Amino acid sequence: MPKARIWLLGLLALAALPALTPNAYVQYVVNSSLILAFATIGLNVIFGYAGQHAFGFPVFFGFGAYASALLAMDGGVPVPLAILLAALVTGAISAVIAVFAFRLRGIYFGVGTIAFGYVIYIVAQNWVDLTRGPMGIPLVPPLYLLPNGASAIINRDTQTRIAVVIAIGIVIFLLDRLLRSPVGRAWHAVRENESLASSLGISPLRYKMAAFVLGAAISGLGGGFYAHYVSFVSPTELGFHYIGVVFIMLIAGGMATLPGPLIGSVVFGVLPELLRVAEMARSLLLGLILLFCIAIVPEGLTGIWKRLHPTQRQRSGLAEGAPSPLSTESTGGIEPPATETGELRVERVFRKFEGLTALRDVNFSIRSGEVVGLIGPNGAGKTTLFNIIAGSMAPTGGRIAYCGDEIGGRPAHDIAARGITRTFQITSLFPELSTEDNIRIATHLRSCREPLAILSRSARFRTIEAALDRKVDDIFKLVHLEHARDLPAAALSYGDQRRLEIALALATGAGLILLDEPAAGLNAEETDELCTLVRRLRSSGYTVILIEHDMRMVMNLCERIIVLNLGQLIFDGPPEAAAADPTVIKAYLGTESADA
Amino acid sequence: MLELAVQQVVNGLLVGAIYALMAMGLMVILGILRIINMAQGELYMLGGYFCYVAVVMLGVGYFPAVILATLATAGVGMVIDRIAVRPLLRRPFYMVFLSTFAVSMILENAAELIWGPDPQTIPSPFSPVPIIIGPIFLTTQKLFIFAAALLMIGAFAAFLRFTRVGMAIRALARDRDAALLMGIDADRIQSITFGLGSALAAAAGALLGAMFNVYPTMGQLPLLKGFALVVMGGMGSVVGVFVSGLILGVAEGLTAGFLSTGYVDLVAFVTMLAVLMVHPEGISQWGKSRA
Repeated sequence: MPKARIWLLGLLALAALPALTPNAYVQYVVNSSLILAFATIGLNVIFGYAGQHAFGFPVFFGFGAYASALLAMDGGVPVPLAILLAALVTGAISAVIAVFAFRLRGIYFGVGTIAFGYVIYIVAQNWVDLTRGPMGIPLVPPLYLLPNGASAIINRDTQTRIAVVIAIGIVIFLLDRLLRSPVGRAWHAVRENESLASSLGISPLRYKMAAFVLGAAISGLGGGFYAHYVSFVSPTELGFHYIGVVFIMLIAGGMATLPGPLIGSVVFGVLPELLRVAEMARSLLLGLILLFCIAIVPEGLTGIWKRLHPTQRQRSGLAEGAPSPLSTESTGGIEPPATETGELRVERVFRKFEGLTALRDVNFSIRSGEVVGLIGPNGAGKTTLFNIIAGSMAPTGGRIAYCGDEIGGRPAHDIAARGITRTFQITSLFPELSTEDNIRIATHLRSCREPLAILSRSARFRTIEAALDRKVDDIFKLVHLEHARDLPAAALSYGDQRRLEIALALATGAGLILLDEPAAGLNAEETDELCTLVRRLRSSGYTVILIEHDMRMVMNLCERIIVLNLGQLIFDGPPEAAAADPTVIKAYLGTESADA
Repeated sequence: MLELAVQQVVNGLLVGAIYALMAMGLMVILGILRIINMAQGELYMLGGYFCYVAVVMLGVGYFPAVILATLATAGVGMVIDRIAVRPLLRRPFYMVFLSTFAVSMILENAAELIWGPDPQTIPSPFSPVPIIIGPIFLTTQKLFIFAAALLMIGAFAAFLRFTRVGMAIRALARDRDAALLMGIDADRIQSITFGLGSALAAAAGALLGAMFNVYPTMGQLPLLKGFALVVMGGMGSVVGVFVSGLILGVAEGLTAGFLSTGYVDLVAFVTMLAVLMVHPEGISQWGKSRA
């Protein structure tokens, strides 16, 4: 059965089944659970998909409740409109918070979001003129969608539930489209490996902000429904208690899945009521459920389902396929770079760390289409230079220009967009994602990222996506990784992982590729294959700079060699001359000593 | 005006010392073990209730009751470590956040079921007659709490600095793998650290509980303020956390005296967020080398 139909049936059941019981309490429990699902879905966007540990996030649900209640009561806005506006207001305030919160990292970010949540709570308690203070807002007008006469036939509980289910359906439909687009892929990328994401042209901050604001708006929408359903809003809705409840629903339902939050919300909203445990012990019970979930089923209810029903694709992916033999017949030329190529100029570049000068007055330029080797003893500053060119680090002095534009000190994703990308000395991939998804993420810069085109699946969007799918196929052929298409990157052999890294660099479409020790740990055959690939890149118009300790490879491949020693450029010229240059020999072998 | 200011500063210093004591317990766990223990506020609460039980139900004197409560809570802390923290160390760090959050919900609800939602009073032997020094009103209870907090923080700092176990804790904080290679039993040290952190929280709860009553949700705010202090003071720094505690106490006292009592609880978070905006990694330069 197609997924869309399962969803439709599920949502229909949620909307219709509770109406069969005359028990008003059951209806109330189901409705509140469904309304809380918005908070869970919102948290899933930031926590599950974008991987940001925003512990205080559930506060936006209460914020939306306040916003909608006040808009309807003090602003005189009609209730349905107030609910929608509440989502917008919540999104807007979350954007302000996000600007500050994303300055923090790791544990501090988590603690910071809790602090922001608590600030909102205290303000709601004390800004009596606006919020009516600790006593809360009573008599919030209810949501009626049907004219008065019809409300006699279909009661308010049912009306609200139908509205809520429709809204959930729309949210999930649009979220699904977003997830299967460059936006969703960018969230995964940022969650798995932020620095790699930015070197592939994805701005981590932009996508984290987008997830934060979108998640908050979805939570706020739910808050709006809540306020008009229970007709009462108080600071409790902003309190600590909600954090636990919403997290249980998310974790127990299944993080980073579409149905997870909805299933979690319904099951863990209804379950405590069904068990008829005294109202008094609710937190105790929820706490035990949360502990149990963490210990036994960290992947949640949807995870159990997946464990029992592995999909066909995953199974076939596990079949061990032999890598295709080294192709000597080159399948035509490689597609030329997608971005403008030009000269890279490094002028008087310095990089100082506390008490240490890693780069001192480095000058060189690289013409379009060259293959240049960057060599030097350990600690010479080679990787620092790569970091500076690719934007993971700013120079402390000097300038760097590409195609005539100053790029020194710009962020990595911006430099990638200008056509410079890199690989890392220590293998850097999106380990949990499949090889195919890894490469697909790397096509980010060439993808169509307009929100409206994504959500409406416009013709332009579909054409570009189809073209990128073919592009991914081409790259698979180029690096001989077809056998590993569905395997997670972490499961690949070391040699295949290094190939995948180069595949990612190629998928960006960048014209200047920085390879940081690409042959380290490869066997002779793999190294030869790598050399062939680099040569083919050059003949297709790419520029390559590589840091390498394998001298045979450097001598074979590079038409020019730059030698760094102790942060200074000591040689720039053809490989044969480098091998004979006395300063280079001295840097590598040290001064001749008597007891040699 | 000036008299009010002096009074508020003195009050602030007294409260600040308790904040520091509470934050110290959190600091060993968050700053040293890098574990967010959301149940720390409930350990503070348990310290208060255990003291209450010892005094009212078992008829123990107040001072031994404080010590008993501290020891009992240390045991609870070690059990939490064993059940909800240690099995999750190799999982993403938010798992421990969630599991300790679950423990916090359970303990708070359990306390409500056992002792009821209403505040309980711990009878204490202190005279209610204030001591008046110039413009300042003090009670012997406040002075005792202040002295006890100072003593415990001092003892804790000395323990970290001068004992072998303290050294092992610091080594574990600095570099877990290296510490393991040096033959430090990480599980045992973590257990001790958790016990210590819980004891500090419980002592704060037992001392303050006698002044402000004990109730199931009494731990929430101290937990949040404790976080703020640990972050402000620099993760892992005894001096930093202590000074931050005093500063926060005074700032709150002055806010309550001159601005608004409603917004007092905002001071900690606004200050913390301000500090984090300037130093997104916390004032870590302060800490590590001095712990």
